[in-house]
Amino acid sequence: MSATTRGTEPLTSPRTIAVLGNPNVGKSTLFNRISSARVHTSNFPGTTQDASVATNADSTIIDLPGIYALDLDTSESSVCRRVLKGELAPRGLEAHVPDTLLVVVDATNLMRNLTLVGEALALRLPTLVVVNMTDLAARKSIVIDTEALSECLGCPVVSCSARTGEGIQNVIEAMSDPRVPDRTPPTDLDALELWSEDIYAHVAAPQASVLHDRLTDRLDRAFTHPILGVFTFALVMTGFFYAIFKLAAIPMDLIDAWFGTLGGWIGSLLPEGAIRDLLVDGIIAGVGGTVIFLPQIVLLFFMLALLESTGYLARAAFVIDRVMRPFGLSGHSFVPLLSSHACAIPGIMAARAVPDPKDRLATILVAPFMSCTARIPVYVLLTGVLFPDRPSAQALAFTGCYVVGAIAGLLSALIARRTILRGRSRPMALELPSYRTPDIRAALMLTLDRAKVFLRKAGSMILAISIVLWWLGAYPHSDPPMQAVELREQAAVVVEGASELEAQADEIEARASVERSFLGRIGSTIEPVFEPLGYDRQLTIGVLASFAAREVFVSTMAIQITGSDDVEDDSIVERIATAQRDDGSPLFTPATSWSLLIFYILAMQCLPTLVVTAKEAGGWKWALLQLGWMSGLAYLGAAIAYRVVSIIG
Amino acid sequence: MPWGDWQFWIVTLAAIGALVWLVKLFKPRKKRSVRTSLTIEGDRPTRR
Repeated sequence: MSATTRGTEPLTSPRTIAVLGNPNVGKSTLFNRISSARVHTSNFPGTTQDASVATNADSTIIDLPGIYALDLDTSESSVCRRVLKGELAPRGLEAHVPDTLLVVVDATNLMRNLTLVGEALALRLPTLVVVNMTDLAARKSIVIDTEALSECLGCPVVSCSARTGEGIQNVIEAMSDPRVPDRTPPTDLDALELWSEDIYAHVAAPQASVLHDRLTDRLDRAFTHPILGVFTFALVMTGFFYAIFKLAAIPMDLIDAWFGTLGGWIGSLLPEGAIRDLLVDGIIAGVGGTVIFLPQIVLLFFMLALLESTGYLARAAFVIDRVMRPFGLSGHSFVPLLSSHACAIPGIMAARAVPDPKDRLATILVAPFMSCTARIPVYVLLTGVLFPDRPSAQALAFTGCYVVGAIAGLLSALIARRTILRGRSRPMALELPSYRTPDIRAALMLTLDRAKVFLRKAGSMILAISIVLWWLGAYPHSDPPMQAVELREQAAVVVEGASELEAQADEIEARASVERSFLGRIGSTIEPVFEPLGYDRQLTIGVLASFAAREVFVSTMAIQITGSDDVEDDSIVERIATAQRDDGSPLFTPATSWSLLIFYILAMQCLPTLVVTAKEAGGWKWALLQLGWMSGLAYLGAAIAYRVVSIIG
Repeated sequence: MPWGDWQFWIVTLAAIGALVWLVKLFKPRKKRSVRTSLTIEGDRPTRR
């Protein structure tokens, strides 16, 4: 480790301000208010923690993870300790002791928050304490005497409401004049709690609003009730997912149409050849297939952020803790698993908030079992094939896919916690925040940030995978089959129906091309492995091609069967459903369709998720274990489904 | 294989580049060392 010294010349590097506070004190909202400069998310090297960093010409503000205490044995506390000691900095910044420590406390929960303030004061850094949420405190008739508090703490104290913006200017002005505290709080935890109580009694004038507390208590009793709480949770989640799927449909169609237009435009601009095919069929089709899910992901994070800022999500986690305990998980795993229903990648990243390392690992390992949006095209195709013209049965089967995935995930977590991750998990300690009006600005900023992360991490990987898969599917070139040549010859001489004959010739050529390509040859070689599941060469290619991204299955099947990947066309979906195998038997029998459905519910089939698992879990052994377990379970489940349905008929 | 087609070579190079990038992505990275500034009791020392 190298060290640098600075001389007497004026410091040219920006002032570093670290923002510290308990979870749910409005720290990030305050950070967004005071950082008018460029904000980006950066991770701490060697850790799984992220921080929002705002930089401008004269200061760098770091929003540290929310913690209950500095000396706790959690990843978040460790990061805060190391940053405040000058041992760690977000990637891209030089690590040194912050020039200013800004400690944010919740005015409605000051006594509990003061223990962290006490720990922060002991660091002897130039400190400023910000009493936030004064609007909520006023509603509860709690008045904090900031001057008396400043006297007790020995450093400047200002109050504000980051949500409404009241007092923000005072905070910005006070930030330029922090002070090294001249009081020494006790170091022992019990003494620190007594110290907090004494200060609170001295500075706060609580006149609890009976009406407000009664409403909060009533809401809490309903939301955390063992039965009513679960019922409320189910109701909220139903509305949550309904809104996501309903609202996302329009932008998803727009994105789909935009990529279609882009493909058509580039196709018309470039001359026929490999480069045009790579751009249109490889890059645009592949990247478009991923970006199409962005509206659902954006909506999920936006609504999650809104739910969190109302204070409900903490209550939901408390209720779900009881449901998850028997499976060896805690309520902390709830948000990561919920997020995984949009995409496992942000879900796995959200598992950073799970404090128990074994709980966290178990959550990461089972997160891909949750039915993500990439599975939807496959579910739509297969439920449509299984129950044609029966929309209610399709909807039931569709819901069943989600239930089966969640049950498989919970049972897998139970097995992991009883074997490789044995040990008692920590009891969930959670401070229930006050109910608040949702902070739309903070939710929008978080959503924007997450959307960028999704596009950067998943999109770039999908791009590379799409190029490689396209190449494997396009080469080697083969001569057109005799049947296609004859059809083209006929098309050249007939007056009517020439275009139909050309289309048939295209279809035959496309099928032959995929069959003889490297991808096709791999499919033929591996076909015996998937025979017990009822899959032929075409389905084997579909499964193999979708190893990197499961949604690729539908477009691969469309290319193989029809020579076009335009799966939006109803007639093409119908042609896939009625396609035949090489021996003339139906491709999608009920047994094969159920087998495929079970396979796609349980199989990993997502390379970017594997990469993120390896990064977040701390090694490829966990990603390979996840791949092996999920693939094995999917194979077994699909084989059983195929046999059972074949026997029942 | 269309060895004589220049477009084939371009797309093949792109595929190789994508493959190399994917392999690099999979390979575990070495942890970078962290640079720190020397501080005394939270303040940067002055040069005498």
